[in-house]
Amino acid sequence: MTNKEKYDAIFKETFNLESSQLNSDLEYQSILEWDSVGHMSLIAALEDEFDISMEMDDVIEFGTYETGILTLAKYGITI
Amino acid sequence: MSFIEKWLVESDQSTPLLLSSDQTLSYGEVSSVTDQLKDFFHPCSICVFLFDNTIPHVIVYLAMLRARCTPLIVPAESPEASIVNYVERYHAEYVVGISEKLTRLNFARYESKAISGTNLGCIRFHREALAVNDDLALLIPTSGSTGDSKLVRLSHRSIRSCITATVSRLEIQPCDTAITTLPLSYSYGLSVLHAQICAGASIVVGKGDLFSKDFWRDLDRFRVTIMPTVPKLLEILVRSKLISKLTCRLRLILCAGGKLRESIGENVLQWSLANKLCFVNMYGSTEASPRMTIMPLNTPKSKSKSVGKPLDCGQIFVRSSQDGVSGELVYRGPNVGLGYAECREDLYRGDEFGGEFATGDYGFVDSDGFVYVEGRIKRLCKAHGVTVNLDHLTDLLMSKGLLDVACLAGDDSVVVFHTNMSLKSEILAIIKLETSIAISAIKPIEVDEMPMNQKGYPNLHILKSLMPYEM
Repeated sequence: MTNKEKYDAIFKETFNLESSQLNSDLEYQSILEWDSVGHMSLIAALEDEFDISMEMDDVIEFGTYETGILTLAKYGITI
Repeated sequence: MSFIEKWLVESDQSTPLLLSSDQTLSYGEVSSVTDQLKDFFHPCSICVFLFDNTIPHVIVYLAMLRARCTPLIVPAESPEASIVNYVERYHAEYVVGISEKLTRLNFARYESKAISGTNLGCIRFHREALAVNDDLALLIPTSGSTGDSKLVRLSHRSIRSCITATVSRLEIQPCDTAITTLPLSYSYGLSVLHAQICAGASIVVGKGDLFSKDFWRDLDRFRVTIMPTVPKLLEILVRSKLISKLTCRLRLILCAGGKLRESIGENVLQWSLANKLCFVNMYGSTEASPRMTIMPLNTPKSKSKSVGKPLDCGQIFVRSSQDGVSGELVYRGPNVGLGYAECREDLYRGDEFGGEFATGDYGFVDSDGFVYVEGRIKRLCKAHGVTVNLDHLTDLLMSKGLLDVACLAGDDSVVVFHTNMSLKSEILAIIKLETSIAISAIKPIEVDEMPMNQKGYPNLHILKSLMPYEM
């Protein structure tokens, strides 16, 4: 799987989504599943999959489905 | 006189009361604004109040109280049908909330006004309604999750005695600053506001979103000393390691609203001891305005699994014990409310609880007077801060055509057993649409066949044994 495929799979599994829902509208609290608990599961899954440990500020300001890619880039992960 | 009057007017007027990134209001400013706004409301009337965590909402709430109008508090994001239901059932004289939201409600014969200086509006109905009891101060729904509209009737006396005892136990001083981490429409969240005002202290009003820069900035900038939490919030703080970001200016971390997992509790306790602040376990119920027990500050670690000792004004005892130790926890004190209400006429009734509240929890009290809560008695459970009536939830799902389902209490979650994999998303969709239970609190489990009991209902006993350990 490419990094993009892994990234997408994590979003789809964590929030029970279809590929069509992975777009620029997808962000924290834009859907019911992406609440604070959902956010934590997302971060944990991303850290696991890409073997990184995110800084607190990045956990808080991870961003949207789209800008999250930029956050991961800080840890050397190119999506 | 309203329970809020003295606290507001007799505190040092120059002390800041309400803080947010947009504004800061002192006791003097709040007293003055609410004094003007209170003319909006008539005494002995009911206002359905869509309470959101903003300073304008708090101002209007305080104005209502000063006018001796009784707020019927509902979450700001309540579904329209639920709001209309409350208005009709209780013949409310007013509805207050964000103007935009009010315009979407469909009522006949009403007058609507904007509350100047805020984005809130007030709808007023022209009708004759039965008088309400003079002692009635506040109305809060008991089980907000499945749209049950039974309300708890709280009196000025019950709130006053509860909050005064809370302030005393927690040693809240005017220099303390709390922060709203919980909805003000939740009896616990609201009690934090009440306690700060009673103590002549300050409170930062906002969404309390842990994953927002604003929250952490406010925590620091306003030098917050008191942070209220519920088990779910603590869990997030610990698992995300955000707990290490909490400043050392914190004096108290409060926790109430459900059973805290041992591992999380241990973790927080350790962290609190290391950082020299108090982790305070508490126990309460809306019916008790709402506090029943609070851990005394600096209690030894050996009592960490307890929810503390009863407020100085009350007592807890155990009833109907099978083994002579544990039984139903019953609370007695002046902070117990008046009773329940299911219609307008009920609002006229007086004190029905008589100062005693059977909690529906079972537990025990140790020889030092510390209370331990072991579980819920009936078919109610807590899931991410929302009280869920498992039978009502099952009925709801069945009414939507999902006949083979059963709901059980999980660990701060609701476990839904069903027999068809493809039903999972439908179950979640119904819960999402019809209730205020968080989706992340629902754990669907598929079984090949639903075990039944002799009466033809799902056998909950067997289902319970099928629950995976971590649920």
